[in-house]
Order: sequence, then C-alpha cells, then structure tokens
Amino acid sequence: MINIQHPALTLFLSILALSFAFNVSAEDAKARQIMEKVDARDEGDNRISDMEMILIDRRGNERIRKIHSMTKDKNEDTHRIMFFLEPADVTNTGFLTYDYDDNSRDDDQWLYLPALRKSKRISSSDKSGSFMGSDFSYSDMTSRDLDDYEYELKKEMEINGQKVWVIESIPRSKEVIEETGYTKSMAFVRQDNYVVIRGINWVKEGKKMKFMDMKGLELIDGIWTPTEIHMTTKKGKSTQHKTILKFDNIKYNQPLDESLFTVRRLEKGL
Amino acid sequence: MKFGFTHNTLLLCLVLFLLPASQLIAEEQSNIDELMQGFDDSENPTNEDSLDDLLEGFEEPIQGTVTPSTPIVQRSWDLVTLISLSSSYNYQHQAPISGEADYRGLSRFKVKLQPELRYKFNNKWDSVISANGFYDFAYTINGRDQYTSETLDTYESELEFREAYIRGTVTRNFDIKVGRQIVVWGKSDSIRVVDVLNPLDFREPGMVDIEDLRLPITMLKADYYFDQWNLSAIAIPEIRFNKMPAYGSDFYVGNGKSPSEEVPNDLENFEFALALEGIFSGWDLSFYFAKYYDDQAHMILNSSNNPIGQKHSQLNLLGAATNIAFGDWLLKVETAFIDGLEFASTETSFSRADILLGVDYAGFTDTTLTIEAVNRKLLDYEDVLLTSIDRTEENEGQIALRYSGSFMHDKVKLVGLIAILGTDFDAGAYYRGSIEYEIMNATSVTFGGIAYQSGDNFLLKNIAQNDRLFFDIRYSF
Repeated sequence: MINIQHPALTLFLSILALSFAFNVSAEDAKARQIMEKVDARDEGDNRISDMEMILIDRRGNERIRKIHSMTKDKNEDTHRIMFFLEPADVTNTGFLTYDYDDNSRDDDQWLYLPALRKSKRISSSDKSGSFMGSDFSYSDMTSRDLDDYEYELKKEMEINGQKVWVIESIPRSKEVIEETGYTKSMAFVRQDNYVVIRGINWVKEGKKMKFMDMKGLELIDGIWTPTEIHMTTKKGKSTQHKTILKFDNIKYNQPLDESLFTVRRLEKGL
Repeated sequence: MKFGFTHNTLLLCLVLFLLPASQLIAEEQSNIDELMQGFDDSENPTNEDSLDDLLEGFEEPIQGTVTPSTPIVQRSWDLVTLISLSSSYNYQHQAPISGEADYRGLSRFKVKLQPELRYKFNNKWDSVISANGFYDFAYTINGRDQYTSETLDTYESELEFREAYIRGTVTRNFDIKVGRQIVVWGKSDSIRVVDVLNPLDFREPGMVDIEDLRLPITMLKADYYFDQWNLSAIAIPEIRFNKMPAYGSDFYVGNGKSPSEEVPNDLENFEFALALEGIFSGWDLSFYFAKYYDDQAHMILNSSNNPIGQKHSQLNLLGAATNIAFGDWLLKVETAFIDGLEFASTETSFSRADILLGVDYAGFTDTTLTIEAVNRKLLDYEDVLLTSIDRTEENEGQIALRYSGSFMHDKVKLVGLIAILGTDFDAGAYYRGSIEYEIMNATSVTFGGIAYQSGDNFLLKNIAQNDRLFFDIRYSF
C-alpha cells in the first residue's frame, strides 16, 4: 500500500500498480521493481501546505479555490484535514479523511458545511467523482492497493532532459475500475528520483482522458515535492476542463498533534 | 481473476515474434507520441506533431519554485459578507376576496446582507459575530396598503444579530463556547427528531435559506473530550421560539389574529441539555437529554373553547442517534422519547415516541440520494386531540426523498426534495427543486420551484395555493 502525503502524489502513485504473476515478462518484472522504488520513496510526514486550485473550463473561465491542508501518518494509515479559505462562499468548509491502509476497510470521511453548522459523515466507496469540482477525483486523493493493477514497462524516453520510464497500469478487476473510474493509466517515472512527473488516465465513461503534468517539483527538506500540477480532461483532442494545483508554504515534520485530525477540530475551523 | 492479455499485450507479443526490434520501438513510439498530444496546451494539436515537437511545449523546467499567483495570507480576523437578491413568483394563488391582500404574482424581491466577522485571539480562542439584514421591495412594488401590519413587520424588513459567541480550549480535553450559537443534534438531514435546541424560521415553510433556517440562541456550552467520546453540557438562558407566519400573510392558517404568547421568564427558566457523542471508524453513536420549551406553541382556550392565549410546553427529551457507514450506504437512525406535551383541548400532558430511519446512497458519481422516514406516536392518545383545535393524530408520519447532484465540475448543482406527510401519505406533501449555477468565484444564481400539495394536514391544506417559482443571485466577498 502506498502511503500518500500529498494529493498529487496520491494521484501519481495511485495510477501505478504491480505486475500480475501470469503476465510476467522481463519488462514487467522491471516495472514492478520500479514501482516498488516509487512506493518506497520518502514522501515525508506531518506535512502542512497551502493549495491553490484553479478550475478552468473550456472557454477559459477560471474559478479559484484556496485550501489549507494538514496530513499526518498514523502507522500505515493517513489522516488528512483540509480547510477551504476562498472563495468567500465556501470559507471554513472542512474535509477530514482517515485513509486506511487496509484495502478492505472503507475510509472514514467527514464534511463540515458552515451553512448547516454540522459535520456530515460521507460514505462512499465510489471514488470516481470529482474532488471539490476539480479534474482530480477522490480516488486521486487517496491511496490504492498496488496489487489491484497489472503493470507493464512500455519504453524509456526523455522529458525535459530527464530520463523516464513509461509504465502502463491496468486494473485487475471491474471493481477497481468502478471505484476509480479509470480503465487504464500510464505513468512517466523519472529515473533519477522515482517521481511520476506525468500521467495519463483513461476515463471509464465519456471516452475522456485525463492528462496529469507536473509543472513544478522541488526538493524540500530532502523530499521531492510537487509544487504545481496540471490535470487536463480531454475528449479526443478537445480540452473539456483543466485544473491547476499550486502548492505553497509546504513544510514537513511539523508538530501536528492527533487532535488536529478530529471532527472537533473540523468544526472549529483553521 | 483477469489475465493480463490486453489488446496491447497481444499486439506486443505478436510484434515481438514478427518484427525486428527496431520496428517494435517505432510502433511504441508512435502510440506514445499520439498520447503525448494530450499534454499539448493547444486545443487542436495536429497529427503531424512528433513527440519532440510536443515536448517543446513544456517550456517550464520541471524543477523550480512555483509561487501561488496570490499567496494565501492567514490573518487573525476574517470578514465574510453575503449579499443576495432573492425573488419569488406565486403562480398558483387565486384572486383575493375583497379586503384581503393579493398574493398572486411577485411575492418576494428581497435584498439581503449577511456579514460575519471572525476573530482569532490565538490558537485556542476565537470569536464570531454575524448579523442579518434584509429589505423586501415586493411589498412596496405590490402596494403596502393591502398588507397587515403584522405581515409588513415580519416579512418586509429585518435587522438582527445572529451568531455572536466566544469559543476556546481551556485544557487539552475541555472546550467552552459562550454566546448566541447554533447546536445541531442528530444525523438526519431533512427531518428532525433530536435536533430540538435551536428554534426554526417557519415564516415561509420550504422557502427559507438553509443557513437562515435555524435561529441562534444564547448558550453556555462546555465540551469534554475523552477517548472517542464528547460529553457536552449546555445551559440555555435565552428562551426563543420559532418564527411563525404572520397574521394576514399567505402562510398564516388561522381565521383571526393569534392570541398573545406566554413567554417564560428567561432567568428563571433555563433550558438544559446534555449530549454524549461517540465517533468511531465506520459508525457514530450519540445520546441526548434536553429539558426545553416546545418551540411551537399550543392554544389556551377559555370555557367557550375560544383561544385566549398561547403557551409553550416544557418538555423533556431522551434520545439517541446513530450512523453506520457501509460501502456507498450510510444508515441513519434517530429515536426520541419526549415527555410533557400539552394541548389546548385537554389538561392531560402527553408523551411521544419518535423514530426515524434513513439512508444515504452515494454510489452514483457526484450524486447523493437520501430517504428518511419518521413516525411520531403519541402515547395514551385521546380522540379529542383530533377533533379539537389541536388537530393532532395519534401517529404522525413523514417521508422525505432528497436528490443532490453536481455537474460540470461543481458549476451546476441540482437539488430535489419530496416530502410527504401522513402515515398513509394522505396529509399532504411539498415538492421542491432547484438548479444552482456558479457564474464565477463566489457568485451563483439559483432557479427553482416549490409546490405544496393539500391533504389532511391543516397547514398544507391552507397553503396549497402558495406554489412559487424562485430566482436568487448570491455574491460573497
């Protein structure tokens, strides 16, 4: 199980999977080795960050959300809390997630809506829906079991002067497709640091594809950290919608107490 | 179990046997080149674009500092203001009889301003103060003379403080919150069983904005947290009741003016409440106790059975609620035993047992379906309650179906609600649907309609003509 500290990283890693025993070729074995290293990469812990989410429709109209998030690992599980800061009509909306490593266990999720003055438990194993209106889905924001996928190393190439492996992942069951909404994914893994810098997702419905492009990557506290990610949904060659995530004030190893990741805190706001 | 022989894999195997390695590489290169077009920012990448051409589109280096276009500044204070224009049109009302107001056509043209100031003293203490003010121009447009003074006082304008509290963490496990506030109990969304602390705005049933529905009241709330539990103790010195339709308005169902209400002395009649709420993985469990006043009054009759006053019963509630999540389903159960219910037609006080069952289904993408049903059973029932002014049945049921869905990346939100009253679904119903479109950041327009269906329920029988279409525009800054 991948332990995700970062929404974007979750996406990158969630589209990656291990090879399936029956289809083992030399390339598949190598793909698995690569993905194990991607999985083992240090992604930091006790992280805080500010995120700007820019939603761009096909006409170029922009909507902007600003979010403060905190993430903490608890053993193999990940706890994450997010507070919307802007726009004004969603200020203080909060989202709390306990993402469990055990794949058989549903995540615990709560949404606090200030208009209702109430935290509402969210129960959904369908994670293919849009995360807060973005081109990222909930499945992109939570970890997945690598064993749910078959992997194949397609080729090696260069992107921006960086050597990458191009690895294709295919869900091993219809349940995984239903849950994630993706029938196939392709990841571009940088060979020097095992960061997935690009990804392509084939969307189950609507003959759409999602293109993830990491535009910013920084070494922060010794951890390779995405600072800007673009996710574009296309149908054919036509852009349907695009989301830009920009991260700022990223800090790792912060003294985040477990009490921050509670409904009590969710209702108090940032 | 699925074997990994996809089309691509089969093709790959064939090619491996039939073609030299160079051709294989060319084939893969071609496929990936095609995919790489997706990263092109241009709307119509050409088929002639090679991989190298496409890669030239990535002008920014992968490494490099990226700063948000407008950095997030966290301040100790935050002022958020909602301004809205809300209009509604009554398309069902019949012509008035002589001397009554004409409620056909425009029934609302309201400008509302709702500022909320938050101030954070430090990491442990903060405060909120908010106000609500509106002016409804519909009464001026339609002619103020035709409306009763009660109607104008209630609906034409308003200016009041809403929430105003200070909140803090005293110790690691102990919080307090003092001031005018809203406390929501229970797990249900459309029907209330244990959510009894805050009175409601019933002036226009079904038409009140969700953020305005609950009326804040002054409370002293102390919370103690231990393990996965939260014990809340609440003292409520401010006695405040539901806002009801005004005499003369189209939602007022009486024949004449209502007699005055007995309002308990605040200082001598504190309301008290206790809640124990546990949150666990996959489920929640809560227990509630409240000693409070019924927010809805009953009539006091003279010897001739004419109303001479209104009184609010003092009630005791013992309740419980639970949520259980499994897959795409969320089960909701609420139950309450309420003691001390009084009525106009009898000196006896009654107890009532309420139970609610509900379920949310979130298995469809970006969609939530909810169904909730409640039965309220009056114990030791007396038939006079039905035949008298009380018009209360032994069993009162309600079922609510709710649909909410978002589309176009949350730009469009659809909400539909069907609420049917009566254990035999014969007490009436109301239907509400709306579509909200986000024009730009923090600005949205909403169009919808509400229809009331007459039935045995006295209220619905009398407001069945009040079907409305509504259109709102909201901007927050």
